[in-house]
Amino acid sequence: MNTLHYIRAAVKSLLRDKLYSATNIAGLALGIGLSIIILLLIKYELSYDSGIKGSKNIYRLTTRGESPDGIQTVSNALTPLPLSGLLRTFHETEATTRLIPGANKLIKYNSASLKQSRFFFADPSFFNVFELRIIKGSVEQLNKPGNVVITKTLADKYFKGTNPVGKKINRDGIKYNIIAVSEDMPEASHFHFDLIASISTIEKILNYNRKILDKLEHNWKSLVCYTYVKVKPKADLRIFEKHLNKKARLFEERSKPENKTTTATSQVNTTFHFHLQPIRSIHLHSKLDSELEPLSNPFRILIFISITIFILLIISINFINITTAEPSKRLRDAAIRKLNGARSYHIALQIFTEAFIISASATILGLVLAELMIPAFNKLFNLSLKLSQIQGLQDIGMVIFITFIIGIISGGYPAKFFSGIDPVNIFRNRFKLNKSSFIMRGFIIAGQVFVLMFLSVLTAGIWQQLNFISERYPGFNKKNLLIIDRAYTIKQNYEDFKQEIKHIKGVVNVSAATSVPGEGYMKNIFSYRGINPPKKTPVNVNFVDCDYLQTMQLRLMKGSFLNCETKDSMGIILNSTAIKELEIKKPLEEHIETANSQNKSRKFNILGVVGDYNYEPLDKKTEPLGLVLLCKHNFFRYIIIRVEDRKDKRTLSAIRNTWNKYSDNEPLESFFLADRLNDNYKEDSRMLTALMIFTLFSFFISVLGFISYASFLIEYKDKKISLMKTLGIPDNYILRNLIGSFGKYILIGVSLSIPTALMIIRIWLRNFAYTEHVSLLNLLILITLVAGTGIASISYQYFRIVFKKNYHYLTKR
Amino acid sequence: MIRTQNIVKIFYTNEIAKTALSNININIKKGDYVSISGPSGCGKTTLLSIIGLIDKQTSGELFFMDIDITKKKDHQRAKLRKGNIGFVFKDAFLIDELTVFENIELPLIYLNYKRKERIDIIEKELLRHKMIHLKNRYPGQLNEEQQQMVSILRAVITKPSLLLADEPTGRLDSKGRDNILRTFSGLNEEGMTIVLATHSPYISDQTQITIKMFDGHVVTDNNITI
Ligand SMILES: Nc1ncnc2c1ncn2[C@@H]1O[C@H](COP(=O)(O)OP(=O)(O)O)[C@@H](O)[C@H]1O
Ligand SMILES: [Mg+2]
Repeated sequence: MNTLHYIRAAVKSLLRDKLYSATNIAGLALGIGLSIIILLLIKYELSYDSGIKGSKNIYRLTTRGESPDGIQTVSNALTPLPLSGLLRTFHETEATTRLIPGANKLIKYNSASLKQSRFFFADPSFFNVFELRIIKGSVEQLNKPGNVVITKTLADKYFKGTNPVGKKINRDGIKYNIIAVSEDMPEASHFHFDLIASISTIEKILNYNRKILDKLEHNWKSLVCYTYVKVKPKADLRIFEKHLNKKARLFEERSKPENKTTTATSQVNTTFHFHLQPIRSIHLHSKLDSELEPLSNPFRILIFISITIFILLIISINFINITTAEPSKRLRDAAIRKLNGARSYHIALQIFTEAFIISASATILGLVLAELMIPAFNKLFNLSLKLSQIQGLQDIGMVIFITFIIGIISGGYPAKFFSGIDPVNIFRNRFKLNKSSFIMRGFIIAGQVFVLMFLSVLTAGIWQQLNFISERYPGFNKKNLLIIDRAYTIKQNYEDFKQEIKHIKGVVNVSAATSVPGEGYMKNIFSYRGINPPKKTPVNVNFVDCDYLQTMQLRLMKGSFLNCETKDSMGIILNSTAIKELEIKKPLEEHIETANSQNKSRKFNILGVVGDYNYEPLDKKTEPLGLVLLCKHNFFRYIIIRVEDRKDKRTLSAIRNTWNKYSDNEPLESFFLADRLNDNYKEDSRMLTALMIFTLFSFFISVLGFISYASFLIEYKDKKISLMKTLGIPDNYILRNLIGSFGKYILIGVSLSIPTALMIIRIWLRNFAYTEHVSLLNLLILITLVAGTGIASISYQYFRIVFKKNYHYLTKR
Repeated sequence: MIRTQNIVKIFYTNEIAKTALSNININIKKGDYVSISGPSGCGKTTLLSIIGLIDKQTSGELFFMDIDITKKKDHQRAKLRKGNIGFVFKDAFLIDELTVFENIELPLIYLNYKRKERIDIIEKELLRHKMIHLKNRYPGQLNEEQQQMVSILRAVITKPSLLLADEPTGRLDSKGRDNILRTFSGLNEEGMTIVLATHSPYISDQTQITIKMFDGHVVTDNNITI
């Protein structure tokens, strides 16, 4: 083998046509750059929660709850407080910790406030489960009330240059002593903290009130904390889980008599099952209530992987397009080599050498491009990807593998194409490819059309659905609703606060509730005894005040809304779905029941019926809902304010001032409901943006491809065209003939891609209860665009070549 | 060297069958300098492509160096051809981005000669033909005669036993033509068998033997009776 000859010849051939090589390398490099970024993204998503030492053995306990009739009512990431203590008694447990998120309260160091700090309470064993490096101090004293560990990031931000250990901070009137500085949670983790205080601090916060504390600590019925366990490496998890649940049931039974909770909100009759959830699977696979941070889903990974494959495919096709655009020169060279003793594989080797040189230089350039594009992507996806994350043999192997695959795919067809030349062509001095290579070339362009069309339809479909969801009327007026979170700080001052807010210019209405659309709800099993057998169904319950109907602008279908004057806490408003599910014929004369902790039933009179509205995330199907009047001792979380214009700064600042007056300096945590509802689709919108970028990229590559294919087609049909020209056949007829040849393959690509894309969209749409499919109009627009581009390319090339060449040489001869 | 028996070649194109060669019987011996002459379209090129083991006859038998080629497969023909048959055409068929040296080098590369050997052999040949100064030139920097000389050197660099030339002087002026013909005579004197196709009687007159063709038939053959 004369390796050197192949390389030299390849380099020379590449240098001969610099425009050709530059286009080829640029296209490949851009594609490789994009692919590298997506691969980083995929790697990042897959790496969630694996950055912690021993993450393989760390599990989160989750709670599933069933009512006595087997109806599932709870599916939550939270667990009861005593669970961790029970876990500790198992020999499978290496370490276990509870984690309780603290409310967003003002934290101060001297006079500086530590803004937007994520504050948690945890057991000292937290750092045994999550083995983060302790940079300064020691976490041993994390069992003592008021002790707190902060992260390095927080330390660097607020304690520049000084040692934070031993310093005091203040939160909600309680002094905390910083005992250690720890490394941050890895970025790809399902939760992040800035401060972790000892869980015993809660006792201090509750003024060591034993009554409340005992109720909390031994309560197996209220879900308040996250529980993590690190298991011994060889533990049998199935048995562990089984024994755990058996014991938990026992404890639960024992603790029951002490339980005096009477509100309808506790999950009294529900039996809880606890499950071990590997923390590594949380990010992609968890679908529970009360997640600490927004999660991803495997569909997104699927989309990203297919985008990468498509990009690599499309750039390889681009290589083929360019390499075979005007093939006669290369065919001639191949024939010359064959006549001088080359075999087909020599020619193939020559082409592959060229392809590999191109793909290797493109990879190097692609890495540079990736480095340049990463900041923009980081901004778009709110990530901090770095090229240096490509590390280790595996990743480098991956990059080399990609280079290799591109070389193989892009070199493959040209190698076959050119090496198949019969040297007999030399005797006729006419270098023509055979029919099968020509047809094959057509299918390659069909492949390109396929990818382009697939990405376009997918993009259109996702865009249309997201647009549909955000435009759809959710059953209430979601515009101009300002929500104040953690409004319970106001407590007994609520009525005064409400009156004052109501009088602010620009405020339309004010209400309070335990839940707002998009958030979680308490579920209770309600039964209706008006039919036989009695009908039971879980109903989401929201405690609201009497202005809820007007503030949300719900539709009242029957009866009247909850009345503030009568203070009838035994009245309930149901939504239409609840009426349907419970099979109630004349709702206004009926009542429904639910059981309380003593298993005594509580009756609720149905006062009215509201039309269904999306009180959960917009894409979720409406479930039965009951609205109950907030009483004095009920806990409400949100205050809902309808303003005239959300952009009116004066109204907003008046609300803020009023809040400050009533809230004792608690930070105001507010948001507009529409924004929060849209936030649920943030990840999807980002995916859409990424898809749009890639579709655009593939569009440009396709235009290049179409032009190359057009010149290929014209060269192939050169003789026929010159004959037709000589016979005086008009251009538009010849052109129509050419478009026909091209159109066949466009048609193949289009007709295969549309069903495939629609199928993928359908899978994605399963996440939504309300869906809109890609409209026929949008499909037609896309088809027209793709086919139009193809026709334009061939017309352009045709006239370019007709003007360049004089097609009269045949007549002259 | 080459013997044919009733070689027939029919081209099938779009329903029309064109008989390019009919019943060709020729016998070319080692060391012969043969021209095939006749008007354009009489079948010279077709015959050359068949005795050059490139194209296949429709029927009839072909012997190359006493080996029966008739039933040989493509790759066996290619193997027999390699290093044994050189080709020269009207066009020089040089690869544009390779230098003179590299163009001549091609057959040696495919015969797996070592680089040092290749340099030795090629430089010697270039010196002998007073072309060493052109060694690193590209085809575009040569005139037509020089290009054709390069293509001849490439064809004979492996010292093949047979050299086939199809209208090798077709693009040259009379001076160039004579130089090329002189080169051919020289090669023949060194023992190389040469078959040269031409429509020009001036050229065919300069060879030892002339096979005259007309419309796919051999008309006269000085040595072989039909
Ligand atoms: N590939 C082919 N297909 C069809 N006909 C051909 C082909 N090659 C040659 N011919 C025909 O065969 C005949 C002989 O051609 P050729 O051998 O090129 O003659 P010459 O070289 O003497 O000019 C001509 O009539 C030519 O048109
Ligand atoms: Mg000819």
